[in-house]
Amino acid sequence: MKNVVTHRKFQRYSALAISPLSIWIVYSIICMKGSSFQETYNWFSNPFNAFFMAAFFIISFLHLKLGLQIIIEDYVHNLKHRSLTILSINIACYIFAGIAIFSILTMLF
Amino acid sequence: MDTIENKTNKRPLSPHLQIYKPQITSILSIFHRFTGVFLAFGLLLSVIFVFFTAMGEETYKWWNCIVNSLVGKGLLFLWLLAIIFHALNGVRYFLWDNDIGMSIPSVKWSGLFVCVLTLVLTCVLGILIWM
Repeated sequence: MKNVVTHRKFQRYSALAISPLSIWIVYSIICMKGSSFQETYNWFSNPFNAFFMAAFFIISFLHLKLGLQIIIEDYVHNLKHRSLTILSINIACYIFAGIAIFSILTMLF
Repeated sequence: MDTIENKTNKRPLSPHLQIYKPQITSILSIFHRFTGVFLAFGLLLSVIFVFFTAMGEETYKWWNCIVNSLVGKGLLFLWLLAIIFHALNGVRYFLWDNDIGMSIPSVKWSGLFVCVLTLVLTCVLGILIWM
């Protein structure tokens, strides 16, 4: 995201989207405490839960990527290192978001 | 020219953390970033948790052992603190974006309010999760 305004807008919108999802996740953790493997697995195979978990991971990784980029731009002054660090963070975000989606889909089907 | 560094006279580059006078505004701003980075690691671990659950009962139980250890619980508690602080302080940024609460007194009061509310919410949710 080269455009600073778009960057900032996405940072704010993703934050808006994550907050209700995080509340739902913390609530789910409280409800699910001490549950067995089968119960946890069943929770993930519910389409409603799977959809919102996937949404949470995708939006969170977007928010993470944008947030870390700002921090890197503030503290890494060497431009070569800066772009390399941002690139590796982006790649890591895509990989981990991919793993999350793959796992959720595995449990859904 | 691939560096911004000032080579002729070694002036410090912004942000000037070393010479910045600690105030509630700056401390909370730094802590917002710090909790953000900390939560990034938490997100990675939660991906591993989902992955291990998808992989079957054995990896799930192995993961559960780590989470239920003292270190695991301590880290989870810190993540709970971090996510609550990051979310509440994020609300301040939203209000400031809409030009609400920008005066110096209200910035200080909202900062203090966020700190108190974070501690209260963390304790309440911590009790609900682990008691």
